[in-house]
Amino acid sequence: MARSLVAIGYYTGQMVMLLAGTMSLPLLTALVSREPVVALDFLTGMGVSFSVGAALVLVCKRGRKADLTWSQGMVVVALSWVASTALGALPYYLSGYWGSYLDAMFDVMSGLTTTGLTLVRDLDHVPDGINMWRHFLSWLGGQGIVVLALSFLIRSIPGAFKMYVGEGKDERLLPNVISTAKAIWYVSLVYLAVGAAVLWAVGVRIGLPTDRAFLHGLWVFMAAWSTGGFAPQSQNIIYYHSLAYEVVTMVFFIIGSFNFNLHWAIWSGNRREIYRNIETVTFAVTSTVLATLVLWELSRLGVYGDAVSLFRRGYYSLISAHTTTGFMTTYARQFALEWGPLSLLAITIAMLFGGSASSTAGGFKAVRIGIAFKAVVFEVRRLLYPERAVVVEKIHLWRDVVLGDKQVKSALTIIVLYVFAWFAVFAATAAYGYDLPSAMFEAASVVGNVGLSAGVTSATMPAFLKSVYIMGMWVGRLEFMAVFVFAGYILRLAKPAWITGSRA
Amino acid sequence: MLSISTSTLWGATSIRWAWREARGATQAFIYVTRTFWIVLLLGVFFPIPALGAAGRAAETPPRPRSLADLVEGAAAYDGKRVTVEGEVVGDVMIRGSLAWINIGDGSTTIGVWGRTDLMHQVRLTGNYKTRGDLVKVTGVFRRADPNQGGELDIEATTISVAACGKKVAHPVAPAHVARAVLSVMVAALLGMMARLVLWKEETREVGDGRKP
Repeated sequence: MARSLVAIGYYTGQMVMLLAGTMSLPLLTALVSREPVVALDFLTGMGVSFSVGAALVLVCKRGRKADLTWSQGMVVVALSWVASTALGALPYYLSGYWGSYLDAMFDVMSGLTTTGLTLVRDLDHVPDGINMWRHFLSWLGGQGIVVLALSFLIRSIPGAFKMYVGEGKDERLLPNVISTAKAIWYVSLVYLAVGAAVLWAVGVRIGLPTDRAFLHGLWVFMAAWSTGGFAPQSQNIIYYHSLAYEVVTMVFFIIGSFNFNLHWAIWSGNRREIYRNIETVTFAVTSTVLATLVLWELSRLGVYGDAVSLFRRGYYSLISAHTTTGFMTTYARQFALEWGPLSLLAITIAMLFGGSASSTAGGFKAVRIGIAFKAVVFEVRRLLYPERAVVVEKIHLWRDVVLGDKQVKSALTIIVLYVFAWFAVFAATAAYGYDLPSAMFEAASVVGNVGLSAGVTSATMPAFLKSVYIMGMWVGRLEFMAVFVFAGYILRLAKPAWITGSRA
Repeated sequence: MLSISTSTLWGATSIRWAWREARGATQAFIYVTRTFWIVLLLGVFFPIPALGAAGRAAETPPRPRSLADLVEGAAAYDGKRVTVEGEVVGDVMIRGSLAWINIGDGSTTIGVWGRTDLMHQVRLTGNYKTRGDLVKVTGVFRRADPNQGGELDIEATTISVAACGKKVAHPVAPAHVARAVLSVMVAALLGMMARLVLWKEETREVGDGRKP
């Protein structure tokens, strides 16, 4: 057990030191924007984070050569996310824009998990350095902290793939996991350059000053690509009052919600994959069905009177929900007050369904929805065909594969766990007296790492509910397993005899 | 008692007579008399401007208590003329003959659009370094503005600056500097120690032949 702890401590320390390094970007932004107080806050944050990381590495130096087991890899990931949340909140708290340390941690977890819910006070007066940190956290969380560490910090460690899987990514673009991590960053950085430039140009066109347009373009792209949903102003995307800005962000968050393997396949010349892949097909079907429901309900209720309004408010919100982005073109309370139960239900389902696996998106993931649907079709076909007939169901995921029990079981397990988590967060929200549709909506947004709000999330909400939401975001982003293993590990440390069954 | 009963009959008697009566009356009678005059004056002068506004009686501006009130009661305020106050935040976005600003009052922030010349009087907009101008906006509130793709907004007809914005100072306190310097020094010390210890470990492993 001691050897295991040392290994976990050593790699967690490395991750924390990496987090300290990432604070240099907001520090630089604060210096360029002439915000000395903010720069000092980030310097403090960097110093404290680096000290904690270095202390862990020192204490656990013997873990350097340890070959991580599956459980240790998962625990490192879960613990790194907790440590990053606790330490990344320091600059937020010192800035004074968050009411408590819990609120600051809420926003860091929301950023890292690409959720996008926020408890910040007076966002319209937040300094550039803090805004850079908010969006950069979202960007880092989208790719994954472990992916970042594998790309730039940890050159070669035994058990790297176990940490990679623990962070909710289960496919390798390239045979080597470190090359895969680098490829993910390569794809993301190219898109960042293109996306930020396009949004910069649109920003200037709609009347933003050139320097502000650049920062807004960079930040909004980071939030769109990582399906994060943060924005530099309190009105979110409404602030820009621009169809062009909405269309460009929509394109980028849809692309961001696709599997990194799909990006790699298309970049490698395999363009047919986009039409054949079970994830893109599932996303196309579910988004079409749910969008039809939303638009029909909004038209029936007369919420929006014309096609452009329906597109900019109804369709945008649905796709923002389905890709788990959380960008908003309506005010939070409008969902609860105007949208009607069917629209809210459709958006809630879209948030739970989510985007693709191995992407920045959250939710069940399209591949699992596709597999669950195919499993139902398979069972029906098996019953309809003669008993002696051999029925085979295939799915196309990078290649044609026969659908097996193992895949179905795995997909359904995660879906069931998501539903349980959603229900737990919903029950906690409803217990505090929030109306049921809003509680359902907000719970789906939390667990699916979406960020749309029906008005429940605010700095004045109860502290316990904030803690439940932090847990919900964490569990949803790491897709349960890493968190469950972490919890099991803690229990094992606390009660070794009970867990291990030892009679000693 | 006589005085009070007289005051209740004032509507049917002459003012002069009532005034004479009041001279020798009680304090209560004097209050009633003053109230009568006030009501009379209001009754004479108030209808004059009210007559002018009679043609747009349906547009009598409701008074939302805050901008959040507008969002909460969007259906009730939809299409009505409203007057609201808020700080201009972010940027003034000029798009040809029309322009957008966003105003916030602490409860929420909403968009206001109108003729570009209306926005020219805004000098400072709110951000980290400035408190933006506090503006008074009168215009038509729409829950889902068909001119703006269904956005909840105000189409401004008049904008006036109620209070000018100002620069906000963020002085560096000595405690800020001390905290940052101390944490960086501790980090540097621990970082060097970690580097040294790991280097020693590696050297020992090479010496032991555990590493090629």
